[in-house]
Amino acid sequence: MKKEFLDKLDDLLPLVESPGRYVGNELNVVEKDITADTIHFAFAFPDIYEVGMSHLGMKILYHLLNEQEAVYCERTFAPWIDMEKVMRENDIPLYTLESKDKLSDFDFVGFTLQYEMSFSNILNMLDLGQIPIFSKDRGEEDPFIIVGGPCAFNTEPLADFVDIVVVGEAEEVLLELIDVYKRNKGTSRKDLLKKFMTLKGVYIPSFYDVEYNEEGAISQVKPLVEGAPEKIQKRYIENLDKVSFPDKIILPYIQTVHDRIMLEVFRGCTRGCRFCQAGMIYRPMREKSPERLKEDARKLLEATGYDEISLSSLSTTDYSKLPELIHYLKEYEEKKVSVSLPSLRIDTFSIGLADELQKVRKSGLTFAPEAGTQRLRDVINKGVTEEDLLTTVSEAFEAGWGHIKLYFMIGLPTETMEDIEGIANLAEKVLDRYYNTQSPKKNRNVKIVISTSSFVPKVFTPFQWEGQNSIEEIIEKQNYLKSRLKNRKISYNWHEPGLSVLEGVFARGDRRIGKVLYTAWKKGCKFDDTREIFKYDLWMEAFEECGINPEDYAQANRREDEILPWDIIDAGVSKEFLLKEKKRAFEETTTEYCRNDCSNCGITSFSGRWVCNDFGSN
Amino acid sequence: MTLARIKYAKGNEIKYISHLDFQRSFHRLLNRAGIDVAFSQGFNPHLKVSYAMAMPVGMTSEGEYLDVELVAPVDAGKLKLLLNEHAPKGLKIVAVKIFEEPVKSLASVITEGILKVEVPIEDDVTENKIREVFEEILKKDVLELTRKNKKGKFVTKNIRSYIKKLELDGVSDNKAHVDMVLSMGSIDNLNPQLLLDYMIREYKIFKEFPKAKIHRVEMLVNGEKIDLK
Repeated sequence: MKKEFLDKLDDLLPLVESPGRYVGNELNVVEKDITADTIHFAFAFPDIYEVGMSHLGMKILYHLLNEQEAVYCERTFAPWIDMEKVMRENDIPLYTLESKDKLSDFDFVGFTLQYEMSFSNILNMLDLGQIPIFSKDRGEEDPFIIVGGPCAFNTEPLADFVDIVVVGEAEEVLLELIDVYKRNKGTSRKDLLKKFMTLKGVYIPSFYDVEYNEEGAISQVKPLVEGAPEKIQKRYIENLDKVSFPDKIILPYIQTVHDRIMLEVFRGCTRGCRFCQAGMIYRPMREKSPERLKEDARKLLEATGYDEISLSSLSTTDYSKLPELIHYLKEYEEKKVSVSLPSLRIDTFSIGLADELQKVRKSGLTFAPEAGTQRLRDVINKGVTEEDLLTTVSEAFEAGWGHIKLYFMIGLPTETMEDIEGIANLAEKVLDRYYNTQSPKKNRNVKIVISTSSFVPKVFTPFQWEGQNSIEEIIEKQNYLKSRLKNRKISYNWHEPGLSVLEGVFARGDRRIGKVLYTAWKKGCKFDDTREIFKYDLWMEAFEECGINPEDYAQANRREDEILPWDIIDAGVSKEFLLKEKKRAFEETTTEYCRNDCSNCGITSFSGRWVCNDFGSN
Repeated sequence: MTLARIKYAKGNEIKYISHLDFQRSFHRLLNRAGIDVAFSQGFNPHLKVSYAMAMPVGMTSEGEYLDVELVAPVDAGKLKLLLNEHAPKGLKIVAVKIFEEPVKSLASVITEGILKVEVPIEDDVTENKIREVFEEILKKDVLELTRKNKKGKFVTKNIRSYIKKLELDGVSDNKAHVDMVLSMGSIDNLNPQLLLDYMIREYKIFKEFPKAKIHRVEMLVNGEKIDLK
């Protein structure tokens, strides 16, 4: 099929920045003939190519879907501002990189929801793809808009725009969906949705109506379709060794954000930090066997020619077979293949590992103490003491590192200026440890980077009822910290406060926020997480026009007994557990790691047969 | 030491890949093909691969060259086969020659490039008009063009002697097919786009948009082809 816009495209691409983003043709791209029977799935990443192509989930699902003979899964990304302009001026629809078919021609368009601030890009991509923005306006010929990913645990702000939500890990349920679709081709759109609805982990927002009381809280959620489930249970993969993991991945030409092989060593986390959504929604913790990981590594090195492997997970140093895996991967050292860990646990074991991995060039180490005082670290259940951190950095300085990055959050529940002061004190103590280092390997350059993000309460965490700081409070705290960090060896990075507030609105938003999103997009909001493009003023205009006060969503505390917009989702951890953890947080009491003691989060009763902490010979 | 001199072609599929991205992609091709390439010493060892010429984004070519330093002697035919087997779409290895003794780097010896250019012509411009303009340009003793150098400064240079050949091959579909031989390399270098921009600006025979399609046919050393036999 000849697409009339392709010739135009060839003339126009030289005019845009990084045209390689829009052409495909990379190594290991899947090519298939498209027939009338092909189930055509567009995997859409609501950000630019370099960001989307760094995402492991996309690689997994792309290859999983393409393993199915009946399915052709292709990729599409948000065009950058310059390309969007060229496309709109020349009537070029958003197309996929493989076949260059336009999005509206697909059976499914699947968006991954990695962060709330990409929501405006989703509306923009639907529009560019010539697909009706609102779910209710889509007809029999239009694709199903399906979403998944971490933000799928509260898609209420997107309820008017998406057709199907997949809650939890998608590998199994996506294939079930495809199967239902295949067996029911020709069935009406609504009947198909009813069939999808019966699959565990599938949520059809249009099958429910939400009513609110005078105070603005939800009074009831009414199913509109017979048999619509009261609760949508999330999906997760029980055995990661048995689930599909690509043995070939697309090798981008353009340098992507994470341009390396990513091996997923486990899913979930045993730590239980109270602010961390991933640590809650991806329970239970499931490890992959070192045998499987070795096999994955070997195949991917052969298929790509990459010379770097990153061991990814929420806390890779917690992988029980890490020494064995690293020992094996070091065999590739003579082929100049390096192994990296995305973040390090704060202990000397981690320094030993990092030392083994970064023999030649000690580029830098990153740690996340998250809060500046012991009191606040206890509140968030970050089981790290000041002594742990100082011993760890001393060890790092002795081994020859000089560049240390420390991540903190500001605006955490119960935080006072004393806790902010604590961040500055900690930074200085870390620097002192450098000056006290007596080691022949001591690095001549020292640099301490303090980076703060603003706390945003996320759904299915013990802090889901908590309000967040206002922009003014965040700025005040950032300014205070700036004034306290005067040493030239210490530098400070911080997050845009306006963005954090908006993120908070969407993270815990309900269906009424959808019209704000639509209005803001109409005004031209997109790429909101890009500082130069983010238009805070336009967003505030949109809130005002819709008669919605963002503070009601971001800053207000929620009552413990109110119906929360995301209550329809069952993430596996029980509300009782979250409430208990919230109480313990305010009592400044820590909770043991899962690995040491079960705190009855609810995941075992959720799954029926799951047994935690079965890590073999640990 | 063993050096493999490789001639390759870069097709439409990968014409939007920048030189830096292409380099990275070629190194990964060497890894995939399992070629034992020598590494540089030092803190940040890298593969010893050197390119004759960087290629601007958007250009295609059938005459690109690079040198790879190998750890051990390899058969040229086998190397070509291995590389083609693992090459991404749009990249083709055309020829390989193995040198067992040191040779001068290509970057230092290349002097000219043969180019085929397809450029849209302005309305009402005839073939004859284009030929006249080419003749006029070739008759000049001095042709000064200004460009921004790497430091961002504007430099003006007489580039007349850099144009070795400028010939119209024909016109079709409102596009002129132009054959050029231009100075290229570390001593004298003329970017074909700069010459096209001059003709667009001064003679109004060509359109600025759509952009001309530039294809490199061959690189020359003092007018001679590079021998990879």
